[in-house]
Amino acid sequence: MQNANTGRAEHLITVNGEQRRVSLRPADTLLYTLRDELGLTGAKPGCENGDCGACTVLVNDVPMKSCLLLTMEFVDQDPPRSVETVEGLDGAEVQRQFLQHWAFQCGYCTSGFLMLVEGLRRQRPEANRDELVDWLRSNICRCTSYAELIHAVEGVLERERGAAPASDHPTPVPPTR
Amino acid sequence: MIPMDFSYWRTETAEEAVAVYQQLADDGQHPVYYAGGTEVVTRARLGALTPGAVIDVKAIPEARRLGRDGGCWHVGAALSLADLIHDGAWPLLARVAERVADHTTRSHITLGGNLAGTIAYREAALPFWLADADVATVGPHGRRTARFRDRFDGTLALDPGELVVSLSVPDGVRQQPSYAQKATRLDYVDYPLVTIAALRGAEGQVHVALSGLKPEPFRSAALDAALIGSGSSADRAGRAARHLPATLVEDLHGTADYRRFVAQTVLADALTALEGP
Repeated sequence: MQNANTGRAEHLITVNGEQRRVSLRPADTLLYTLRDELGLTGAKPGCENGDCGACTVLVNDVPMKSCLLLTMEFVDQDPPRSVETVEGLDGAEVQRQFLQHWAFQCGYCTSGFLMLVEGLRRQRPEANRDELVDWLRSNICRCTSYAELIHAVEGVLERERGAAPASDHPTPVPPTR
Repeated sequence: MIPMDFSYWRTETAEEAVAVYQQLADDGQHPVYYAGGTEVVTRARLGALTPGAVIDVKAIPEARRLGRDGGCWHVGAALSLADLIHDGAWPLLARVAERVADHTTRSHITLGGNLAGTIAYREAALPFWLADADVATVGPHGRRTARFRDRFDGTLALDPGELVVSLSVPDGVRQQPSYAQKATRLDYVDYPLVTIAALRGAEGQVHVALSGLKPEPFRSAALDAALIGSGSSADRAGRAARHLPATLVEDLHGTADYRRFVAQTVLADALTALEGP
């Protein structure tokens, strides 16, 4: 059994493959440890109620909402539970497809969607349209870029399956401004 | 951000978790068991729940059990709804679970948390309520296995500090014809107007359990009995609907009258699916 008493203490956590020392309260959520202790601000606070998905990260390749997780669930573990944030993607195919398909507008939700879709690519590269839409329902884009998001996800999955991206949805023309 | 402080305990056996709970409760710490966190974290953030300690039970091996043994399918209470959907061994449970919350959040929500939590809908309880399922718990008075339906009447009757460890369902039940439907109003991912789970028993009779109508799940022997007899699915659903609760939830998702209409519709849908029109 392990326990941590109330109050702030130092613990070890592994994020993006790197072990880091963090100071935290047992009541701290992973979202705020990532942002305030580790400077990884890609995970965004949105609803903080598990509804919007802007804080999505990967835990052992599974998308999870960091606002719903206590950081204590991830510290001092051997082997460590792998946490990946958008900062760990570093030019991944999913990011290229989002750019190519203009799958964002204001961008606030984008890092959460990127982690969700990266999880889909790793777990279910054979996903069909219905399945990918079911995954996408986990996150909210207030700018409603959903059509572009679906095109980007299809591009990611087609690349993953080794097929040339379908040409039935032409790349949108960027805005002129 | 959670405004209050609490201590965190990661336990490795059910007995250890219960002993820690007892000690902390005796010390006035108001402990809560912690699994998926969707309820504890969101309610603590709002100050609606103020635990002095959270006891993480996700690492308890028997609460992560999944598989067949002795003619039953056993499922640990600390497994996520996503785990149960992926496993797919009980199609009715998988169909009900895959409409709870959203895809990502189903990787958080655990079976035990859905059954024993305070959030009203508890849709994962519906299949177990219909089946000859057993629920295994560990509490201050030791281990206990009981028929789920003997301990669940919309809420799971647990003693203070009693922890749900696992559930089991006879293999034959999992193969019985079943039906599930969730009706929502505002969006696909939403709380239910009505969720129905229906199971056709070995004797051919359809049994149903419903969520969304009352503050807790509902089922009724009189309603099940009214589903038997002559007439079309719609006729029998109409007769059965007279046995719905007199007072139904009325909120922004739907009026009580609308919920009654939708409930009657999904009852007819279930009968049609399991018996034909």
